[in-house]
Amino acid sequence: MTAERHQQHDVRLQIAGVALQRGFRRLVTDFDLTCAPGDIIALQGPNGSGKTTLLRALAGFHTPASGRITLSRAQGDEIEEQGEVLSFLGHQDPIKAGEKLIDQLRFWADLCGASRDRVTEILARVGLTKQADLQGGVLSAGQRKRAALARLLLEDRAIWLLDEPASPLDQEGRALLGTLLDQHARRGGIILAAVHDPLPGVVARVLNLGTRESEVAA
Amino acid sequence: MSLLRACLAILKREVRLGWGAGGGALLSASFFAGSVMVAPFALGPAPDTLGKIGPGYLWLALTLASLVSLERLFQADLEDGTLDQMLLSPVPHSLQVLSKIIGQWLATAAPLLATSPIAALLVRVEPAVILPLCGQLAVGSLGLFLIGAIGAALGASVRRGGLLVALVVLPLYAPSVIFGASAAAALAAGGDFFSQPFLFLCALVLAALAFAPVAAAAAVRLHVD
Repeated sequence: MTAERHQQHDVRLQIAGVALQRGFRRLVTDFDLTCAPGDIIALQGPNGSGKTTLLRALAGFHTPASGRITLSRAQGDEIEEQGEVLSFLGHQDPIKAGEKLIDQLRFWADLCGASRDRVTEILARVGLTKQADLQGGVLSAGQRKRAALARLLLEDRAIWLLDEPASPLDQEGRALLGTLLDQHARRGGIILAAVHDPLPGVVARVLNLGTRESEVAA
Repeated sequence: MSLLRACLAILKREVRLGWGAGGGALLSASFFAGSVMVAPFALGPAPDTLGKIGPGYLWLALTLASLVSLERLFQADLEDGTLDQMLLSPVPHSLQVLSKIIGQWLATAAPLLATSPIAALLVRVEPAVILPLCGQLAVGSLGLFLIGAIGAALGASVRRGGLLVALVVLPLYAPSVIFGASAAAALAAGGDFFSQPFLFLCALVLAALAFAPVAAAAAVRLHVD
């Protein structure tokens, strides 16, 4: 355990009046949310209700039609660069088929400025020690998701945005995900996850992004 | 020096992926060699005609060969989500793009340039001119890769967009090809290595080095939404 691991995160996330649009379709209007350190939020809703778009807007990939997303530290100073405090785990896994898994994680360590020494230890934590020298192309969907989780641990950012993190994972993988989420929240991290099933192992605040029609249908 | 470390990591990865299984780093070189190989058949093997056309023909082959690898420059990263993660990195995006371009240039242009002296012999370039000519091709190829990256970034989200990228990029290649081919002609006529057209080519490459990464980064950002 490094000293760095015990350090508490102290980032807050504030979403005020955000509206999201895809093409001509309004997905979300007047969305407000405040997250304090330690919050775990499960975004639920039918397909196409804007869960992924909301996560991508928070990561800065998508520009909201209106509203404001603010990241700030406990002392009150605002954070301009999302990349300093935020990790994104999308439904695609950025794994290259023709490169060894360990090399890929070393690359991510270099890119985010993390120590290369932690790579082996983190691979052990997500249960991929045996796969370290395998090419990315032969990994199964679940193993790829575990590798993406390893990247999250490596980056060590305060806010985790997870898009369907549990979907390809087996029972053991889901338990692992639960442990990681719990540890992250205890350290003051914020987790926002788009899910269909409840997040494993943790108690999350559930937010429904359902459209009006779908609520009637349900 | 985390900025340098990140840029070197991107550059090395680009070379590693290019030379790894399915990376296709040798495709451009093969295309270059192939197109030079058919030149004597198409233009006739007579030494005096071929020798006159040869230097310009090498530039033509280089221009077309540099288009081969462009399609995948950003597309693969866009498809597998690597680009999302790179945008979240604290390293400025234009620097990341520059590292990617240089990495791809090292991976694909190096084997191409290694074959260029033999290619020059095939099209009957004067032996004394071959090495300086290949040096000019090396400088020009960097410019072509930099300019090509802008088109590659614009067409990154288009499926099978290789031809589209070529259509966008070829007009932008025109100035480099004009100065490059004039410099080659000057060399063949017994002129200096640093002839006026070559100096213009160098200026173009330097300008591309400054502007192309910024333009490509802005273009590639459009696809991430």
